[in-house]
Amino acid sequence: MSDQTLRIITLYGDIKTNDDKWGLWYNDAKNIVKLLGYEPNYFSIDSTTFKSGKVMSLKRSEKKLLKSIDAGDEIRWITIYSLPIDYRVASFDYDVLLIRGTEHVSLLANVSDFKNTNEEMLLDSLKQHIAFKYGEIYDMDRDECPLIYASKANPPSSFKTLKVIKNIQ
Amino acid sequence: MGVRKDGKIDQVEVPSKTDDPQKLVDRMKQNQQTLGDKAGDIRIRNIKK
Repeated sequence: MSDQTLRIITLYGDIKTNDDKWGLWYNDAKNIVKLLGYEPNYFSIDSTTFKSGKVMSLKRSEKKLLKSIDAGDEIRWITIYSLPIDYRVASFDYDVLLIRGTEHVSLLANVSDFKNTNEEMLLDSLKQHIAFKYGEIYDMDRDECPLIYASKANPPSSFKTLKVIKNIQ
Repeated sequence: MGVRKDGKIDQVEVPSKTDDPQKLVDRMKQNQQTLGDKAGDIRIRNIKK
């Protein structure tokens, strides 16, 4: 069962929308999901040719995703999810979510799933996908939607369950 | 949307089953830019049945 509290790693820096690393991100993100003990089964993408804004099944739509990557599309983000089979709302029910976007690279997962993982290895892997400037490891209740915090849309004081674990320089 | 006593406008989205949260965040951030000084916080609400 999913934890109510998520642990999040967010790295900030530069990401080019038209770089050639999206395919590498896709594969590395799937591997990180597996490392945490889950199956990558859904994704979302915002690109010049593919921008539904919806979460889609990898089983059904992976070819479209790969086509967009291979075509060299300008991609704003690719998110990889592990969602339970009976998920109700993708925005809240994921076990793992990894996003490479225009402003950040983030990994969100159940806090309990980090106990048996090598944090430094995860950081090194995520840093491969951004011209790293700084980052943060923090915990937050999943109902507060940590991607809002990662996207710096609200001031930190507005998040009631935010607990900063570590600043990364 | 909700308007606070100080005039700031907060935005709330209730996602559908397959809405991508980053898409919702980006859309509300764009609205914040349009609202300028009147922009308040954004929220994505989990309605539990």
